[in-house]
Amino acid sequence: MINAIFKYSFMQNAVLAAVMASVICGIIGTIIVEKKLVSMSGGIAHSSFGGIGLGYLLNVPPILTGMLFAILASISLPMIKRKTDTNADTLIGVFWATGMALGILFIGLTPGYPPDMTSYLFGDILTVSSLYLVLMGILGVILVVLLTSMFKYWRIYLFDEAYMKVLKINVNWFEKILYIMIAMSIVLLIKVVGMILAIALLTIPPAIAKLYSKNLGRLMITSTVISLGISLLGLTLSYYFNIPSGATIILLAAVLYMISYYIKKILFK
Amino acid sequence: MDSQYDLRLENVSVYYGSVKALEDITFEVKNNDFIGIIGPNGGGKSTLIKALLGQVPLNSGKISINPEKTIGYVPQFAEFDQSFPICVEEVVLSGLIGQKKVFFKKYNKEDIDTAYCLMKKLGILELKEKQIGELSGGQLQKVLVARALISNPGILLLDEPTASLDVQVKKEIYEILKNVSNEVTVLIITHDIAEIFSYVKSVAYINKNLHYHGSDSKMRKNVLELTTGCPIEDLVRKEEELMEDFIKTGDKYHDQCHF
Repeated sequence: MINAIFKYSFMQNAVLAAVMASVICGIIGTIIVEKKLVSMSGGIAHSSFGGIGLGYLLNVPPILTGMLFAILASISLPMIKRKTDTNADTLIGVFWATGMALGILFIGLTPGYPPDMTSYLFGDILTVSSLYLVLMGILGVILVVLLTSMFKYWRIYLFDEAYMKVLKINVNWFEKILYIMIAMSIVLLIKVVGMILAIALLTIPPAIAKLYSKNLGRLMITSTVISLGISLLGLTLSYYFNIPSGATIILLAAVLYMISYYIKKILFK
Repeated sequence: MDSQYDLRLENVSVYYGSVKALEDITFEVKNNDFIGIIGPNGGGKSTLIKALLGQVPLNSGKISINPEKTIGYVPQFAEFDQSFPICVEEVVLSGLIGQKKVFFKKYNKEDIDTAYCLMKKLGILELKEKQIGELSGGQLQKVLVARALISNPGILLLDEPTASLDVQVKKEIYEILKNVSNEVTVLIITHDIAEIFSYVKSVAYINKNLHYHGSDSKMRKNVLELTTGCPIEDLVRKEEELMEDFIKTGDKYHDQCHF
């Protein structure tokens, strides 16, 4: 496979995408799990499908319209929740379904042959374009800078938002920034592992890391390393056995979680 | 504002939509007072604290806080996720956040010394590296008290800090608060009517309205009368009304027994 990486640029792109996806997953994934935003992230992921469909209809890169939809969803979800006093769970369901329906509608309206949507649903790391790589790189850098420069604030925001309000710190800004970061991360991950599997890649590595660490910073780093390990291994396996890369990565993650769980149970009884 | 008062509420009313939470509350909390707020569930005790923290809008009235003092707050610990990956020391130090710079914030030696000194006083120093989920309820409560005190507030508000703790731990927490109240004004919401009287200097009974506020020797008796159900005057009045009704209707109730 090393030869293949040097030989084919699509393999170089794939490896780079795996590395950057791992950094994004390690950071955002840990946050989603600790802030209990997993189902909200699912809602954002699926509402972005509407944008992807719109991209095909208007003939612009679907990633850009998808990102626009995801960001709009992530901003309006908490806003509508506050204004209408609706249960977050219910709203997430509405966004989830509406996004998917819009996507299907837009693709139906697109003239000519319908585009192949499976790469958005299940991911295709081998066809990652350089536009994705640039976007992922930018997002990765923004995430790392935002997080490290204000780490103590983020930690308190995630841990005890109510107390932050007592200290008269504007919690809304943290919420907005975080939700936009989640939206962008999810859309970029869609290309790597697909919409359906993105949530798994965001949640499983932090879940594994949490079995062994109780420090937020270390959790993020461990999750990043775990994501990197499983995505590179998954990529290798899918290359040699010619099996779908996204599914391979997620299944590896699930197996690793089970193994780690039992190791912990046996070692730290 | 008269500076010997740290908190002053004048005709404060708070409504949630059409639901009345607090109505026409007027009282003052003196410098270095240790005041217990008691009253039934849903009587507006927590709303009172939220109002003092500026987290709910007042429908009418005015709250004045001694401008020289800041407020420290100890929430009920059910409010956050105890499995969150954060250790005791980090929680205590987080009380200082928002004071200095935002970017690349680091706690300096002085901050950490203050934290250790405070944690030693509260008997939680040896727990400093524990993840908060590994603590007992009493230990966690002391951590939250330390977090509130580290910023050196002049006023400390506590929302049922002893709920679901056993008697021994409750006593410890009250002893700590009693010591704290030598330098800091303490306002505590509690259900421990039996215990607080040995510690607090004054008591307010709140059930939508303020029913009693005092610090005299009759405090305990007055409050106990109140907490038996409703204010003592109400009890007396109701009895009188019943009697009147009874006289008016004649022996109706007994009549019903005759066939």
